[in-house]
Amino acid sequence: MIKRWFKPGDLLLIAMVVIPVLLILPSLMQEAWHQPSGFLRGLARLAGVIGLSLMLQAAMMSIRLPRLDRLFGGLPRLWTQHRLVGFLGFMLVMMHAWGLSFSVITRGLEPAMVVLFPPLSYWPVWMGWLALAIMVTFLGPTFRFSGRMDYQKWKRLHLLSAPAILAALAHTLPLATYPLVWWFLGALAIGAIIWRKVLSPSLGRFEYEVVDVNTLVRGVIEISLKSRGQAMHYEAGQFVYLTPFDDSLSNGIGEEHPYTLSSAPGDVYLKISIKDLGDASHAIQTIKKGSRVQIEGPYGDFYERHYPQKKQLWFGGGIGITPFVSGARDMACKGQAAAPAHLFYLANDDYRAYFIDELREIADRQPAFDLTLHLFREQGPITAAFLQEHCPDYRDREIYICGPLPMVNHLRALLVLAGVPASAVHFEVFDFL
Amino acid sequence: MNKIAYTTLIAFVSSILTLVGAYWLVPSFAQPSSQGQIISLKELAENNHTDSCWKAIDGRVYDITSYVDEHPTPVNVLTDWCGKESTAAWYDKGNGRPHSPGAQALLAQFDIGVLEGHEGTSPAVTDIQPQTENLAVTSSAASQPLSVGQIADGSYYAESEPSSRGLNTILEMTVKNGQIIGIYFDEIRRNESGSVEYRKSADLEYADRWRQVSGVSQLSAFPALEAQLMQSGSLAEVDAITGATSAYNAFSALASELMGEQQAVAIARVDNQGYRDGSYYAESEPDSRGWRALVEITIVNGRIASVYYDEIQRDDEGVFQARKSDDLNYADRWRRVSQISHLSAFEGYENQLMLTGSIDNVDALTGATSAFESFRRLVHEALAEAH
Repeated sequence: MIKRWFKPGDLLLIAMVVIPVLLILPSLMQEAWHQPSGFLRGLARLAGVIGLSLMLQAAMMSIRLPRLDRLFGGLPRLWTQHRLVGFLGFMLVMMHAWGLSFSVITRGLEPAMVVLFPPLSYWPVWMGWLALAIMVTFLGPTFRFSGRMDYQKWKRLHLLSAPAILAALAHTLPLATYPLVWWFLGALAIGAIIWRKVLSPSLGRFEYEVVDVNTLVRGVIEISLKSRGQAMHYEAGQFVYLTPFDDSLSNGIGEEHPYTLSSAPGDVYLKISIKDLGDASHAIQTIKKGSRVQIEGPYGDFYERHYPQKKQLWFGGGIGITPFVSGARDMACKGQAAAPAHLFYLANDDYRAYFIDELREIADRQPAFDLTLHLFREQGPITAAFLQEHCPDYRDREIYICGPLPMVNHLRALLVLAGVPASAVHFEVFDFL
Repeated sequence: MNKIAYTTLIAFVSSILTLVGAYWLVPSFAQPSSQGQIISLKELAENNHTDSCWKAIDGRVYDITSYVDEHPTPVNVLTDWCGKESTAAWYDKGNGRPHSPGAQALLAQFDIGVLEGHEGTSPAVTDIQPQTENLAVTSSAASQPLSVGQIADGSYYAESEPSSRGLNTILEMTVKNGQIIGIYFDEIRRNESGSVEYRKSADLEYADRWRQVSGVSQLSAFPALEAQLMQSGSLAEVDAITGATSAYNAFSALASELMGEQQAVAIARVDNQGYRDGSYYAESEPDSRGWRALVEITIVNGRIASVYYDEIQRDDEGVFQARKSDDLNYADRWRRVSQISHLSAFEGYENQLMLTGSIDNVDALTGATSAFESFRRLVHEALAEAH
């Protein structure tokens, strides 16, 4: 249970907030214990300290180092945390400014105003405002005023977090009682951004060449990649960032996008299945053989195990079948399985059940791998009775779900009702581009 | 999450706009147009407790009694300064940083008048920025005229108790023929065993911070106090320096402890000394403990314009290692034995030579005779070329 909610890397993240807080705690207790105004100001200072820690942490999380993400439960979990931590930091920073001002309002409007808007010569406060203004600018699109933003534009806009962090540090360093801790965390944050945006495109990527493009159904391709130099090592179910350099593409040339690997680690070629879901994944459907791509990764911990003794139950739907194809191919390659697995392939109809022939073949040869195809158009939503019929011990298995959000939600509800502990259910929603 | 963040943003902006709106709509209370009542140092000193805590900052007096409980430090940090001239503590909260503009706006509400002797100076603390244009020396009402009485020859030393920031002010003074010929004023910190581990005169970072808020620092403020006393011979003639009034107060306290109501003879200089212009240098062989004495003299317009005497150590390659004038612990040991130390003795020899123009007119200082011998020999050697 603990393992499900808590990853080793979380300790590090918590320490980065706790240490700065502990440093100011004595003076905080001192001032907060006397007067209501002191209490408010103490809270405001605390909000500032935690807010900045979280902002810097959000920046550090963007480093996206292959394999390191597993310490934190995989990259998708880090994305979620990054989002949570970033928003929390943003809110705390506002409470910081608000609290400092309103803690002196009993003394009149003038002091409350001067705290927020001092003479320009007292520039650290204005650097704080600058940081907040930049944050509003780059977080603005997440408030979805004008619909969902283009992914690449959003990424470029999000780069404003770098100047925001510099401004926040310029606000804090001259005023902080213990600036050393902020120098340290600030350097880590800026270092992470520099690695991600400046260094990793040349130092962190593998060179590959497209050797085969296989159209599975309309709008879904599987491309095979051959290493041009050093090959990337990975495990079944992991994903990578792929950057195509095929000049004939109508979109997404030189842009990186995340895709799940469908090949097994033992396969000759690296294989990636791509569904036409957005501008870039639409354009890449026509990628040419022989063109150059770059791969960064691998990321994720798809087959993470909380119950190593349990058998596994896999649910794949739509393009979410990809990590299970990788898992099944891995079993076929190795000739033995880490754990027996039963895959439920939830497809709309026979036509959309790509990979089904290959999966059936593996199921025939590999006794540890069972396969059940469920067709939504004919059988409706999957039911507990259907599971009971095809996999009677489904409640006692460790469960992996990957597919579109409605499918994931439906299955999670169904499994909880059937009494499966939440800690035994892993799921990933494939809605990123 | 984004909805919560968005809601927080709206709430934040609304309340700040409300604050700004209210600030514009509500007429601000008028600043006192006059200077307010004139408050004497005595009156200020009477309000030195938590039930009535007045402080003088930059010539204004503030009654902060009602704020004592709200101040974000342990109460005694604040109340230690009740009834006192607190400008230094205002501009250095103890971490080298001045109070914020927000704190300044709060302080303005507690203004009750002007400190006697500061009438006509700027009405209140208005900006924490440097006030370089106010570098001029102003007269202070704090100094009491002293009655005449000659101070006896010898060396004098006084040291204050540690301040709330652990700094002791020290003053060493050497008098010869009724003239103050050497004087050293500084703030130092001693560790538990009493050794000096810090002196402000060597802290150029502190000087930067002080200069940023006050337009002046110890680099010229301390020598200015020393020079005024040396040249006039009377504490009554020493004026405070704007931006360094607390240093002036500390200096006055120590100097009056040493001199009481006595005065020294004002220094007279011999103007025509008949030397050849140029700079002259001499250095001795190392003594048994490796110290070499050195003297450098610059003659301008036939007169000794400046003299530098020190004792230094060099390594085997002749590279400079240490100089005695930096070593305040050495000064402590020397003073313990001889009532004098190099802090005022070296300067005493330098000044005697500079003012009288001849090494023959320089008298040995009791307790510093071996330095005198080195000094006399080296000056002879150095000035041999200058005749």
